[in-house]
Amino acid sequence: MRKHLPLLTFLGLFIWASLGTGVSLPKFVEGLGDMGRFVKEMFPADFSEVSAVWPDFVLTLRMAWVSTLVGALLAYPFALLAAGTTTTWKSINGLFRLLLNGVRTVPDLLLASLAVALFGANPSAGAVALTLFSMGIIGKLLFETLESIDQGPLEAMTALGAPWIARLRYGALPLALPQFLTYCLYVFEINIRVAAIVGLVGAGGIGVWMNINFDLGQYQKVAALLVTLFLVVTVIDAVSTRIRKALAQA
Amino acid sequence: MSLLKTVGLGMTYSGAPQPALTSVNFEANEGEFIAVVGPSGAGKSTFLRCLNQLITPTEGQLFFEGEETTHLKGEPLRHLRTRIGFIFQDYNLQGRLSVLQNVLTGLLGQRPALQTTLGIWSKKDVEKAHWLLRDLGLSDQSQKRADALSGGQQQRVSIARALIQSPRLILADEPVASLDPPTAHAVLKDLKRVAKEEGITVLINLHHIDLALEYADRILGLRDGVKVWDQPTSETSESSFTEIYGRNLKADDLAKE
Amino acid sequence: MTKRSWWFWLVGLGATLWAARDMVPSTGEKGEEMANALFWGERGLFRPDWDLLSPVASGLTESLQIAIVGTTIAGLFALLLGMVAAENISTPALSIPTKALLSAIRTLPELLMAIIFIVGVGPGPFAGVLALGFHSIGTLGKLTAEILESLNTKPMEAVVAVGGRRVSIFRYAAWPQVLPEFLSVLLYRFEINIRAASILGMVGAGGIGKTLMFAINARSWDRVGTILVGIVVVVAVVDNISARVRAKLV
Ligand SMILES: Nc1ncnc2c1ncn2[C@@H]1O[C@H](COP(=O)(O)OP(=O)(O)O)[C@@H](O)[C@H]1O
Ligand SMILES: [Mg+2]
Repeated sequence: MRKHLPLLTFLGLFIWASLGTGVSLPKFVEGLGDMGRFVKEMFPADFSEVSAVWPDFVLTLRMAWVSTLVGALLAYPFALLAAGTTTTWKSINGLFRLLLNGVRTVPDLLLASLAVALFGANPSAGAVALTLFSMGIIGKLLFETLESIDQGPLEAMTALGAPWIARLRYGALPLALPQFLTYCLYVFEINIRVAAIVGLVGAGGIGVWMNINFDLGQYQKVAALLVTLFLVVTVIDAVSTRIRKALAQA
Repeated sequence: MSLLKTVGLGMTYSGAPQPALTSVNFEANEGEFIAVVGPSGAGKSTFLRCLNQLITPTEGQLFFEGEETTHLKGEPLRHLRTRIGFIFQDYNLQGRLSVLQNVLTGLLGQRPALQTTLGIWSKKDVEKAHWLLRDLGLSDQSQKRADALSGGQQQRVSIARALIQSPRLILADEPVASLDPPTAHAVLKDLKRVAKEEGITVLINLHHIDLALEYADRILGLRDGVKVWDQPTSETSESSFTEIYGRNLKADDLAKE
Repeated sequence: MTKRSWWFWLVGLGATLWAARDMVPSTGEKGEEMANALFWGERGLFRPDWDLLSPVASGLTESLQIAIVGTTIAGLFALLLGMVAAENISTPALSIPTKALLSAIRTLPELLMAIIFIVGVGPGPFAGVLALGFHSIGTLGKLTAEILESLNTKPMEAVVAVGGRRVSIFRYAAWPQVLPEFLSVLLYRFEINIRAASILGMVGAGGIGKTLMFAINARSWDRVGTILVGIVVVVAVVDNISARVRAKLV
C-alpha cells in the first residue's frame, strides 16, 4: 500500500482535475468538424499585407534582442549575489534567490499588461516586460552555472586577500562569461515567440496585427502572419543553434 | 626573529566528533624553510589553512610579525592575507586566463579594486610578472592560457603568483603531490631557491618524507592533529618518522626519482 | 583582444543601440501619477482586494487542474511518440517523420491552439487542457526520445544474456532507467504549464486568466494585485514541490 501511495495520490489528483475541467472525449470528437472548418477558413493564407506590416516583424525581433541583452546585463549582478560560491553572505544569497525566483513566477502576458498600463501601448512596454522575463531565465541559468563552478581559483583569490569585486572579476567571471552569448542566443529564441505574443495586450510588435485581424475575422491574414512568423523563427533558430554549437566548441 | 607564532592552536570542524588540530604551539623564524609531515588526515592542511584563516581556528592564538592576528576580520584580515602567499596542491589557477594575467592576480589585494577590475596593470607590475616568469623558466609561456600548461609549469605559475605578492611567508599545501617525482624535485628546488633569495619563510606540507629530508631546514611532525615533534632536519631519525606514521616506512612514503 | 573580436563587439553594440532606439520606456508627463495609481493608489497593485479571494481561489484551482490534466495527457502521448521517434528503438522510416511532426507541434503557439480548440469544444477549461496538452507533446516527445536514445545498454545485455524475452528486456532493463528521467522531465514541463495555464484564460480557455483579463481591462489594479499574489504563491508552491520530487527521483 505504502509503495503505491504516490501513484494513488497522482490518480486521485488526475481524476479530481479531469472532473473539474470537464474533459470529455465525445465532446472533443464532436468538435473536430468545427475545428477543421475553422482551420480551413484560414487557408489559403492571404499574404497581401505581410509586406506592409514587415516593419513590425522587425520590431518584434528588435524587441526580443534588446530585451535579451538588457535582461542578461541585469541578470549578472543578481546571479553573482545569489550564488553561494561568489557571495558568501548567506542572507544576501537568500534575498537575491528569492527575487530571481519571484520574477519567474509572474506570467509573461501579465508582465506585459502591467508594462502597458505604466508606459502606454507601445513597444517600450513590451521591451520592459521581456527584459524582466529574460532576466528571470538568464539569472536562473547563470546562478546554476555559478553554483557549480570550480572553487579553486576563488579560494586562491581569498587566500591572497583579493577584495570581493576582484574575486568576482578574476575568480568567477572567466568561468561564467563564455556562457554569456550562449544564454543570450537561447533566450533570444524564446523571446521572439513571446515578443510576438505580447502584442495581444497592446505591447507592440506583430502580435498587435494578429489581434486586429483576428477581431476583424480576417483569418486568412492571421494565417499569413503566422506562417511568416514561423519561417522567421525557423531561420533564426537554425542560425542561432549553429552559433551556439560553434561557441560550445571554441 | 620570530615571524609567525601559534599558541595552543586548535580546530574542531563543526559537527566533527573530535578536533582536527589540538593545542599546537609553533614558531617560525624569518627565512626558514619548514616542512610539515604526517600521514593523511593528520591535520596538515587544517594547520596551514588556520594560519591565514582560510579556516577560522576554534582555539588558541595566532601571531604574525609579533602582533596578534587571531580575531582579525574583514579588511584587516584581507591585508594580512596580502602578505602571505598560498600555494595549493591543484594550483588553483584561473585556467581561462593567460599565464601572465594569473601571475598579476597575485596583486589583486594590493592594487585599487576599480583599476584591477578594468584589467589595468601598471608597467612596473607587468615587468615584475615577466621577470618572475623568466626566473622560473616560463618566459615563453606568458601569453598562453594557464590550462594549456603542464602540471609542473602550472605550479610554477602559482609560485610566481605568490611571489608577486612580495610575501613575508608562503604556505604551500602539498604543492608537488600532483606531480611526477622528477618534476616534484625541480619545482621544490625552484621554490627553495627563490625563497632563500628573497628571505621568505616557507611552510610546506609534504607527505613524502624524502622530499622533506632533502629540502627542509626544519621538520614538524603531526599525528592525529597533535604536534609530535619539531626538529631541525639534521636531528631527525628513522624513529622520529616511525613515531608519527605508527609503522616502519614503506616505499609509498618516498618519492624516489 | 584581437582586432577581429573588437570589430565583432563594436558591430554588435551598434546594432543593439540601433534596435533599442525607440524602446526606452517613458511614463510621459503624468508618470508619477500613473505609477501611483498602478502601484500604491487607492485601487493599486499593492493594495490587493481581498474580497476577490474566493473567485481567485477557484480560478487558480481551475488553472492547476488544467495544468495537471494537460501535462498528463501530453505525457502519455509523448511516451508513445517518443518510442516511435527514438532511433535505437524504432526504424528510420518512422523515426524521422515523427521527429519532424514533434518539432512542428512545438512551433504552434499555445494561445493559437487554445483559440482553435475553443472553436471545437467551446470556451472553458477543456479547451485549455487540449491546448496545453497538444503543445506539450512536442517538447515532451522530443525529450522522451532523447532519454530513450541515451539508454545504457549494459543492463539490457544482461537480460538478453540470461535468455530474457523482449518484454522482459523492456520491463527490467529499460523501464527502470527511463521512468525517473521521464517523470523528471514531466514535472519540469508541469512547472512551465502551470504558468501557461494562468494566462490561457485571457483568450477564453479557462482558469484564472479570465478574471485577470477582466481586471486588467477595467484597470482594477487592486484586483490584478490579488490575482498576482495568488499566481505567485501557486507557482512558487508548485515549483518547490516539483523540485523536491525531482531531487528524489535522481
Ligand atoms: N571541511 C572539513 N570538515 C570536517 N572535517 C574535516 C574537514 N577537512 C578536514 N577534516 C578532517 O580533519 C582531519 C584533518 O584533515 P586534514 O587537515 O585535511 O589532514 P591532512 O591534510 O594532514 O591530510 C581529518 O580527520 C579530516 O577528515
Ligand atoms: Mg591535506
